[in-house]
Amino acid sequence: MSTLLQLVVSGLAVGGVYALIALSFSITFTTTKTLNFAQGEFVAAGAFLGVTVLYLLAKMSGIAPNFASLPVSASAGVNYPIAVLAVGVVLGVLGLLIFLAAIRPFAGQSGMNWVMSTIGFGIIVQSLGLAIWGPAPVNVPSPLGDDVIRIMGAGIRPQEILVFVVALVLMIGLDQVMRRSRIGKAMRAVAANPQVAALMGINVTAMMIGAYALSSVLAGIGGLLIAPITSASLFLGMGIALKAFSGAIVGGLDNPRGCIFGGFLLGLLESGVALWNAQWREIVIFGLIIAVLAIRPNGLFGARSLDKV
Amino acid sequence: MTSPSASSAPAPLLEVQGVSLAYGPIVAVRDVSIAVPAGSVVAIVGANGAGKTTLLKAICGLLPLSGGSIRLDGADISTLAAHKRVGCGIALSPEGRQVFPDQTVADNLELGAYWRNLSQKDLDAAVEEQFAIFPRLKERRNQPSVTLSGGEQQMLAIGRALMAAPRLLLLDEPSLGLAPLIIKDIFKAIVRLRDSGMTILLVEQMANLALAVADTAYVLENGRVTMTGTGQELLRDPKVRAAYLGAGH
Repeated sequence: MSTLLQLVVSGLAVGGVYALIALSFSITFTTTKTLNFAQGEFVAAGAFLGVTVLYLLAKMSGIAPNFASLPVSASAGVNYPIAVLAVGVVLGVLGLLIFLAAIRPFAGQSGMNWVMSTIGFGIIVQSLGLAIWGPAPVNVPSPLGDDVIRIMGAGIRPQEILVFVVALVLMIGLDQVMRRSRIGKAMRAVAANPQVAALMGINVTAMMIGAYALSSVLAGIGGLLIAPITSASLFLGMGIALKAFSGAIVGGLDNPRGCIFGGFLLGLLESGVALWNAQWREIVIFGLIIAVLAIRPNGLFGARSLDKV
Repeated sequence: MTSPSASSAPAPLLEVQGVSLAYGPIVAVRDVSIAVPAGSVVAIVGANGAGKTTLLKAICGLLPLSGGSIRLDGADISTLAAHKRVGCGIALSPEGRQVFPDQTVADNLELGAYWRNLSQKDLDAAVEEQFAIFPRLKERRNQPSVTLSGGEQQMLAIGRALMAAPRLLLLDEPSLGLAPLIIKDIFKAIVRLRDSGMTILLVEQMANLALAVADTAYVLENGRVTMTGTGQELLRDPKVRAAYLGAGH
């Protein structure tokens, strides 16, 4: 029972991050029909920018912190929320930049130039990161402290609960914005039919920039959320982005709710299989993804092209 | 607006002058000139592929001109971005309806008024106006528009265009793929709009219907205007009858 609880909690935490990033893939895919292949690097950049903000805040409060292992107090109080906010702003700008540099020149054209240009942008971000922060992983203290809580015999890290809650709140919030607000409906109109959306007076390019900025913000926040669990590394993002992308594909890339479901599903599966046999984790997960795609090529909840009138 | 004191005929609301349009190397419209006077219904008839839809897209800014100019109320809008033209008063009900399928009827209508930035109260009032024109939409107001019948989707597409409070309404093939009874309904609505003073540019393959409601009409063939006249004149024209109205009309 206690292992099951532990498994579910850590699965929901990692799954929450996968879901967040899967949703971020869906946001750019639906509105621009492109994907940001630098998303993994954006996740890592978010984690490191967050650590840097925490480091600077700690320094300002008079402690002489060690960047590679910040004291728990560095994340305490408003510091972590401030770091999340700063990461959101910087990653939003990064999303704007990648759209202008790597997507805009190729948008609406046939061909896959944007695949290479976003991968290239990611490599540039990663190399800059290596130049600034170096290759060593960095321990990030959780704002809720790193003491394991015992609930019904299961050892749960407070950060796991925080990750799950923040991811869930963000996703529910976004879902409601997309469904109820004027701008959300306009964004869905752009996703459904950019030409007709322009006829409504919607500035389609602005919406696409917004989609990239939003998607990048989610990636960065995802990185900062997971960092206290995995420790921050510039190579952390690749694996997360790949799993998140898998989750998006399983759930249906064009269905935001499907992507969220797929992300959580992958997180839970991962922690479940790891408990049984860690070596089999990747084999089982990717075997399952291939099987799902063979049976439902557009994912579990994706619109089948046949359904479109 | 044109000056009412001008002694000569007022400038038309929409003036398409010598417009040419191309998809890459393929020229779809050549040197077409069309005038739509305020308060009138102008029809463009012609066979499939004659360039009618291409011309409407260019008027909306969805396709760049390769020659000529487009003027609205005397102002050159030839290079204005599509999303800004609706603010000048041009709204299109596109070919094949193209409603936003996953959004409800009410949301589709509200999107039509996106550029107007209305308060929710004014928005609701504007939506009610469309329901008065198309009562069937009201019953379906909270349904995703993909669940609507073709005729209802056409009503929605026209209603959505009207939500922009246009000075010029462009209708692209409103009869496309609809049953005869539904087409009759749609054209009744078009006549009511005309009678209320709306300026309409109507593109139709069903030439008899379009010519019957049109003040002026143009025949488009292979991207060129080959005939023009009042709707009634073209209805009686033997060449038009042979080419577009078929035997028995």
